[in-house]
Parts: sequence; structure tokens; C-alpha cells
Amino acid sequence: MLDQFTFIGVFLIVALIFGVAPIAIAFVLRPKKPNPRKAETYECGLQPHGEAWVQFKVQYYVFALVFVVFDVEAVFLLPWALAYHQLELYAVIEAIIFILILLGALLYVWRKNALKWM
Amino acid sequence: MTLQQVLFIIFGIITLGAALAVVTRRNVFHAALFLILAFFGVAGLYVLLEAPFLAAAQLFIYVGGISILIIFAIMLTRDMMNPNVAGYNRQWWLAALVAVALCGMMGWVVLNHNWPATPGDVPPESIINLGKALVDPAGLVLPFEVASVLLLVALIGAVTIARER
Amino acid sequence: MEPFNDFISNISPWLQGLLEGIGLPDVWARVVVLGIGGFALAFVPLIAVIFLIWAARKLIARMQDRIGPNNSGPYPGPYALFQTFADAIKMLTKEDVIPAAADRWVFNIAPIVILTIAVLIWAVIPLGKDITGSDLNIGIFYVLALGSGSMVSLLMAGWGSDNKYALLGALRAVANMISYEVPQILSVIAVVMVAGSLSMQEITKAQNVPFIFVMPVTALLFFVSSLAEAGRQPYDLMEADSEIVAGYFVEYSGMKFGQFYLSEFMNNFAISVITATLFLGGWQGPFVDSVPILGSLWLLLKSCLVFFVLLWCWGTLPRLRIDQMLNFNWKFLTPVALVNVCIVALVGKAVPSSAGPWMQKSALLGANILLALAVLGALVVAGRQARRRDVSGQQEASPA
Repeated sequence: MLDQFTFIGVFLIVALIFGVAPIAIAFVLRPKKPNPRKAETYECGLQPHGEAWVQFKVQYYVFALVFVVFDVEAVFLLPWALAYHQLELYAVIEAIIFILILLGALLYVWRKNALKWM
Repeated sequence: MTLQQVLFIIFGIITLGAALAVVTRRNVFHAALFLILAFFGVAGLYVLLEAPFLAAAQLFIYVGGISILIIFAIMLTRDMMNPNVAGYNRQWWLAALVAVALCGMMGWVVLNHNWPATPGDVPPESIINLGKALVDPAGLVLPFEVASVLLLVALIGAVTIARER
Repeated sequence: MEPFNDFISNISPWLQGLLEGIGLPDVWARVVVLGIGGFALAFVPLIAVIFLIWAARKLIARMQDRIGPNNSGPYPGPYALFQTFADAIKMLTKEDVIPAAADRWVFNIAPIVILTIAVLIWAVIPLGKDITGSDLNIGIFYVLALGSGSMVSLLMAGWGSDNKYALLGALRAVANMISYEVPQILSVIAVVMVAGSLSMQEITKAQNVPFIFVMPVTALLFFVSSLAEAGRQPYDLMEADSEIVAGYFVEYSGMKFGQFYLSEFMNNFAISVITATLFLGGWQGPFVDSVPILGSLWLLLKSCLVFFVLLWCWGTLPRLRIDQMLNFNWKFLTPVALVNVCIVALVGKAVPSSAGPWMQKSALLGANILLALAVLGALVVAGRQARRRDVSGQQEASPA
């Protein structure tokens, strides 16, 4: 099994070279004329106003949390799906109970209006 | 030194170095990025242990979910990167004592254990066996269902805490 | 003719024999052969993307009733085929402007990471009958895991730009992408159940009938969530060319911007190829057994078909707002994906395998069509209720 990953290891190095090569070529080829006017932050042509770190809404965090829960659920379901052909009906029912509990969780979050993006 | 040993040392250095950088960096966002690098290192170690499914699950859940959660939490917290806040407080000697004691205990356990000389062979169908064990009544079906209830409880808790009052 | 048929599979042992003949030890010869193979594999998406960018611009232009890049001189070639080369040379020679307070390391590493991951995905995609970089036994899961890894580079780009609009755009893009991963992996779970393996070669070989005819709802779910993952219209929120300029990579110029652009098109092409492999049968087609190289041609045709559908969506549909996108995902796609997994699981076991594969596949198809009709029915009812609420709200607001 490990020699399958040997190619991945070599390909990782090849991909890194591919990632760095255009920037390296551009580093050689491009003009370098730094200028304080050019280095200002872009705000549609106006003067930049205030700090770059504003207070964000809590909705981002709630969505990320719901995502993590469903992420873990999906990773639990993957080995079951692989073994599906060798399983009996009761095993399928057990996994469907698993999915239904999490569907219930999604419905709960929906009804509590936590999925609203204010 | 076989190639496997060299790779193990490389991945170990990446993981430990990144973990060290996480706790010593002043810039919190950089610490989060080094945490992601540590997760990549752990995924590499899983691959060396012939558990590619665990490596991909590690990347999928930790890098794709938990790290995003951590970075969102960093963004939501005001004033997290104030350079005037001290990096240490006054009980640092107690923490150092506990850390050294813990490290010593773990080292003693590791060195005094009878590790088997050669590990067993990994069966090629390990993921399918895991899948079958997860729903086997004599296997892991109770933890499987309890895990879903745990996720339900976690979601209810998160919604209760994050709701606007 | 015989050795030429399996030309690509025979090159690797021949090269290894050659290198061992010169005296390289065994392991290093293998690494060199794999390295050459890796380079050849990494050029495939690069060359394909160069012509696909041209095709995209021409087709979008036609959909918008104009001509697009034209033969404006001897430089870009006939029909402006080599327009992308001209663009690449332009980007290479532009100055790299870094904002004064930007975080140098994070700002510079982000484009490298995103292009590396976009290239790494291609290691497991079967390009032909036995041509694949590495037939991992966790094939499609590896692709999905790397997709979530590319979100980190988005956050790095947004943060390193020291621009509150870039940061906001990056956070919204990440919130969008993580949401759409859930129906994507749920539809992959349904495919894995029917095919019996995560490896992409196995999934291709298990498709005597392409899966789109067996599980159309799953195919639609996967395609729609992959569209959102890649940030293609109508989920163009991450980029929104005419509104927020460029979202999270607004401060990048020169080749770094070029890398973001390139990686975006590489991801689009990767999605087309993966959809073709998972649902349209990949490299399978007539005459593949006798002439293996024909498999690559079939795969190319199928992925160009999927790419055309992608461009069709791009040119036709309007952009969605962020709350519309998230509502669509969590209130529609995820429940449908979960119910789809349940139904595929039940139907697969309810029809005994002694009834033969055709019976099972038509049962799955029937169950999928019933699911689609049920969902449409639910949508009609929900729409009617929403309209009744709107109308009664208007009647209350204007009592006259």
C-alpha cells in the first residue's frame, strides 16, 4: 500500500516546483519600482479608513460549527458505505438511524433560526 | 536507515517544530497556520503507518473543519493581538513543574513498556473491516449511535450558546 | 501495433531498466521514473487549461452575443488560439505590488499553496484504461480532503492583504465553501455505496451503466455542490468581478494573481473530469478494450461536455447572494442529500442481489425519480405557502 504513496510524495515535490516556478520566473522578469502611493491599501480609490480588522458577525462561527458536525458524520458514514455490499439489512437500518438523528439535529437548528444569515 | 525511517524523522520534525511554533508565536494567526502545518505532519505520520483513510480523514476534519473554526474564533475575538498583553503570567514556574512531571511520567511509561519487536501486518481491507465493525452488534454499534447523539447534543449546545437573546 | 497500444504502460519499466543499466541503485531509479511521470502528469492540466480558458472566453462571448478574442494580428494565432500565452507573458512581466502593512510571509505563500493543491488533485484521476498517477485506495476521499486544504490558502490570502474587504471576502468565501462540502461528500457516499470502493479506477470500472442513469439526483447534487466549491456562477460570490473587484485576491498583482486565476480554472477542469469519472463512466466507451489509448479520448470528450454545461451555467444564471446560497445549501441540498443516502441504502438492500444487476439499477433509478418528484412537490407546496403569506402580508399592510 505504501508504494502507492511513493508517487504522491514525488508528485508533491513536482507540484511544489510547479507552484513556485511561475513566481520565480516573474521575480526575474518583472520591474521593481516601489512607491509609497502604490503600496496603499485598495479601497476603490478612496483613502483607506480605519484598521483592517473589524468586528465580524457570530453567524460565521455558527455555520462553521454546523459544518464540523456534518463533516464528522460524513467521515463516520464512509467506512460503512465501503462495507455496504457485505452488510445485512439491520446494519443498513442502524446507519439510517444515525442519519435520521443528524437530520433531526439539522431540523432543530433550522427551527431555532440559527441558520439565518443576518 | 531505510527510506521509511528518514520520512518518519522528517514528518516528526515538521510536526514537533510546528507544534512548538504554535505555542511560542506572538501573532495568533501565525500560530493557527502553524497548527495547520502540524496537522499536515500528523497526516503524513498516518500515511507512514499504512492508514491512508485516517490521513485523509485527518485532513478533511482537522484542516478543513477545526482549523477553519479556530480561525473564525480568532477573527471574532476583539483585541486578541494586543502586543501590550504579557505572554507569561506569575505562575509560570508551577506550569513548568507540571509539564516536566507529565513529560517524565510519559517517558518512563514509554521506556519501560514491552513494545512488540515487529508490528503485525496491516490487512489490505482495513477500511472495509472498520465499516463492518462499526455496525456489528458485537462490535462498535453502540459507540456509533452514541456518537450521533453526541453530535446532536453538541449542535444543540452550540445553538443555545450562540443565539442572540 | 500491439506494443503501441499499451505504449504508456510500457514506458515505465523500459525507463527503469535503462536507468538501472547505467548504474543507479534501485530506489533512485524508481524515484526518477516517478518524477518524470509526475512532470508529464502535471503538464496535462496545464495544457488543457490553457486551451480551456480560450474556449471559455469564446463560448461566454457567444452566449453574450459578442465574438470574444479574435484574430487581431499575427501574435495570438488564428482565432486567437494562443491568447492565453499572451496573457501569461503579460502577467509575468507585471510589477508585484505588495501593500505596505501586509504580512509578507502569509501574503507570498498563499498563491503557492493554492496552485500546489490544484496540481496535487490530479494524482489520482484515471486518465485512461491503466493510466493513472497513483491508484490510491482512498481515491476520491483524497481529492475531497485536498479541496478542504485549499480553503486555508484563501484565508491566508484574505488575511495577508491587510485589506478589510479582502478579509471579509475571504471569510464569506470560506463559509460558502465549507457549507457546500457537506452535500458533496454525501453524494460521494451514495456513489461509493453502489460502486463498492473509494478508488477512482474501481469506480470507473464498476460503471457498466454510467451512474448518471442510475442515480440522477446524486449526480445533480454532486455537480451543483462542486460548482459552489469552485466558485463558478451562479455561486460567483467569491469573485464577483463586477462588484467587489476580486474578493479575497484584490491586492495581488502580476503572476501571483495569475496563479490564483490558473488554479481556479484548474479546479474547474478537475471538477469536470471528476464528475465525468464518477457519473458518466470515465474512460469507458466503445473499443476501449482493444485500443487502450482511446480511453483518454472518451474521458476528454465527456469532461468537455461537463465543462460546457459549467460554462452554460456561467453565462446564463445570475449571481446568488450569500444568504440565498447558504439557505439553499442548508435548507435544501443537505436534507435532500441525507435522504438520498438513506433511500439508496434501503433500495440497494431491499432488492435482493439474486434479481440481477439490471433490476437493482432500475430500482435505484426509480427510487431516485420518486425522490426528485417528492422534492419538487415539497417545493411547490412551500412556494404556495410563501406566496399566500406574502399576499396576506400585503393585504394587512394596505387594509384599503
